[in-house]
Amino acid sequence: MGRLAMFGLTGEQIVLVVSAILSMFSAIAVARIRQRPESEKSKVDKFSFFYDQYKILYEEAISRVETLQLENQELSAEIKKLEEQIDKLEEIIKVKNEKELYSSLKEKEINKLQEDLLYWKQEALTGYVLLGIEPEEERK
Amino acid sequence: MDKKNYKQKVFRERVVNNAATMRLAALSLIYGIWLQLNPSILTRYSIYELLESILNPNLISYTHVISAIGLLIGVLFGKREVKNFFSIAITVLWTTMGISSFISPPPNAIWIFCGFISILCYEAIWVD
Repeated sequence: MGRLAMFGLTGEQIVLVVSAILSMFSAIAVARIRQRPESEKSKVDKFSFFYDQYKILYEEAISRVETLQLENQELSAEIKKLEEQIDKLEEIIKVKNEKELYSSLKEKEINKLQEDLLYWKQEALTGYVLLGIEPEEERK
Repeated sequence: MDKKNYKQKVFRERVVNNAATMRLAALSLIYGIWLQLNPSILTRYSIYELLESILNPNLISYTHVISAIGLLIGVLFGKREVKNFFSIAITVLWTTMGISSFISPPPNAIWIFCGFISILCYEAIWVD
């Protein structure tokens, strides 16, 4: 090829530049035609990953719920037993309070009787003095 | 599957699915480095004269190396746009070299190898 002096380039150089441009456009065309819907594929991959994670968490949650339900049942049984014991203790306290009340009443009666006894003893001694009789206890 | 295993799985799949592109990147990288280490190749052989008349001789090796590294980055980090860009760049480089060796005197067989490498470039764009 002779010198075509087009843009200061020889024929071979023009061919080279044109072939470079054509190869670039053809490579771009191939890339565009072959463009895969990668977003769909990556969405599927992400979905499977998150689905696996969800499955693991779901199974863990199920077993944890079952464990907690068993523990809850045991605690409910213990609470019931403790409530029964509390009821019994309340009855015992009630009986104790009643007995304390009776005891306090009896003590009052005893005190009253002791006061009466003392009074009558004083009266008796006064009588003995008036009559000039020695009380039997002092005679002995 | 935990997050670490998932990332490793994705990385392995990327390398396996882009095998043709990885080979192309290795080829261009080695070629570019070889030209850099032996710059006399570009001046000694007449098939490079036509390319040298258009481009700076060092630019040929640099573009090969940079395109190869860009391609590797695009594949390993999953950057599709980067991979496509440098795939096209390498395709242009090898096609141009093939045409250059075809039309440069004296008759030689380099254009056959460059031509097949160009076909590999198109195949890498198509398959990967």
